[in-house]
Amino acid sequence: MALFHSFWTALLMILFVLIIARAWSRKRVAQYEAAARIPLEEEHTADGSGKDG
Amino acid sequence: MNETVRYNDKVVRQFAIMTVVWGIVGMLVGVVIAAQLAWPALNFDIAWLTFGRLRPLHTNAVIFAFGGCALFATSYYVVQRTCGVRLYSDFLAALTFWSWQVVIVLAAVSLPLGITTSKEYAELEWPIDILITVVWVSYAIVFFGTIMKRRIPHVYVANWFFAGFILAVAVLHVVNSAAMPVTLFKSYSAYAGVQDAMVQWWYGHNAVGFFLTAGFLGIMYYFIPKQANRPVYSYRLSVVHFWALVFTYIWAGPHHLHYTALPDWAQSLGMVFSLILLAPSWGGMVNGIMTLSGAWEKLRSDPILKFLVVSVSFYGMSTFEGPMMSIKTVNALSHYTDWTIGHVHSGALGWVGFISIGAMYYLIPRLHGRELYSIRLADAHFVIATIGIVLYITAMWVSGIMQGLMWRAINPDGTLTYSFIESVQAMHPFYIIRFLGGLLYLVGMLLMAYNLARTIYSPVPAAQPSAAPTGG
Repeated sequence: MALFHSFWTALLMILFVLIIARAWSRKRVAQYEAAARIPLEEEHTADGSGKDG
Repeated sequence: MNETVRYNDKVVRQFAIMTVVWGIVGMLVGVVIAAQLAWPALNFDIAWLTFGRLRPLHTNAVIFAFGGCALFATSYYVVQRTCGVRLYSDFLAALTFWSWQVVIVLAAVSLPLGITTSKEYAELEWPIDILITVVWVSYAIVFFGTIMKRRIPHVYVANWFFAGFILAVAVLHVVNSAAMPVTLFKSYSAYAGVQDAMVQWWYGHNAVGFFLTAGFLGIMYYFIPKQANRPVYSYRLSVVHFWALVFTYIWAGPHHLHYTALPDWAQSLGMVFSLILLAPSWGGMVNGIMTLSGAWEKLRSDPILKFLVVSVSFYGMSTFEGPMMSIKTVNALSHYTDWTIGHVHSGALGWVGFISIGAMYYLIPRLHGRELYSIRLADAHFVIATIGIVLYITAMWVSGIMQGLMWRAINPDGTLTYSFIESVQAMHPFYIIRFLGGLLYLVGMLLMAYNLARTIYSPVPAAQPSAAPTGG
């Protein structure tokens, strides 16, 4: 059981490092810049006409 | 995206208004029990008015009624707008609202009657726990269903925080509430001894980590950019913030059990992960505050931004203080003292309270198609509440450190320098200051309720389209 827990912990650590590396990848710069603007553009994308239902 | 999106803002309005209502109720109970600590006769020798019964009522009301309604309101509002679609199910959304109010009323009745599991922040008995599970599953279906049918491909970071909060709270609630019912009003925990304590504080600390932190960070990542009209300072940092928080928080619970029967290695593990938590927490704080880069002048005139940004400052303060208090040698002084109460309230009043208040000042006028009735009143609210927090937390810091030092003071012959009652007497002035601080915070909430009621009942719709409700 201890071996399983150690393996699982190491796996999670590797997964975390991979996620961070992916977040820091240069390929994502443009995607993240666009994503950061989602709240600022949402009324526009919703055509400014969202209505209560 | 030229299609018209018809958002479900009815449920957002309902939760937003109940946020203010339950905030006042929960904080009023807090002020009452603060007064009882300063003047114990105020329980009038009535069992259901005693501190032991009203204290869980206060914590449940402010965390799950006030905080919970704020999270439901904001997450439903944010997920619709950042996904570009209506909520997945109007029926289930309405069910979450009415069922959550029933949970709150049942808590308000059962806790003063002394019906409790005695687990901190999980005091409600098993029938209410089952109802909470039904609400939470419905909430998850509505939230994740909305994400699934989104028209905007990217899942905005605020939704990741809301999603983490919903999933983690589901797991925490089910595991910690596992119990053997004996009668309708009494059950016993499925765990025993130190395992019970460990499960309880795994739950307790992550209720702070996911209910009171991750969920409200979702609010931060939407409402600060929105109100400042600036994108998040670093979206990349927000992604790292999320994953680092999720990976780290879940381990930190044992710091609540320092110097107990919990194995020493588990205590140290909890301490180490608590210290690591400082990094993602401060990364998030920097990200929130720096979102105002280039828009600092707005802080002079915009009370909503003041609430939001000061809340993030309190987030930074309490997430610095928390890891420091988790260090075992510091904890030896701070644990069981009022220092902990001061720490909790810098997070609760400063971080959770202020970010919720800022979000409600943003949401309620828009949801009703009105301009805020009075900016000056909102400014006054900000000043009064800030003074209230400062009075509260400084009183508790001084009182707590004094308590810890008095308890550990030893004479040369090894006897205690102070009796326990001497430490109680020394705390009395600080209990009065704490009561005044809490009272000021409550006065601020009453101002807010008046301001927002006048806003809602104002006959004049908002003049500018930007202030008009996007959701009707």
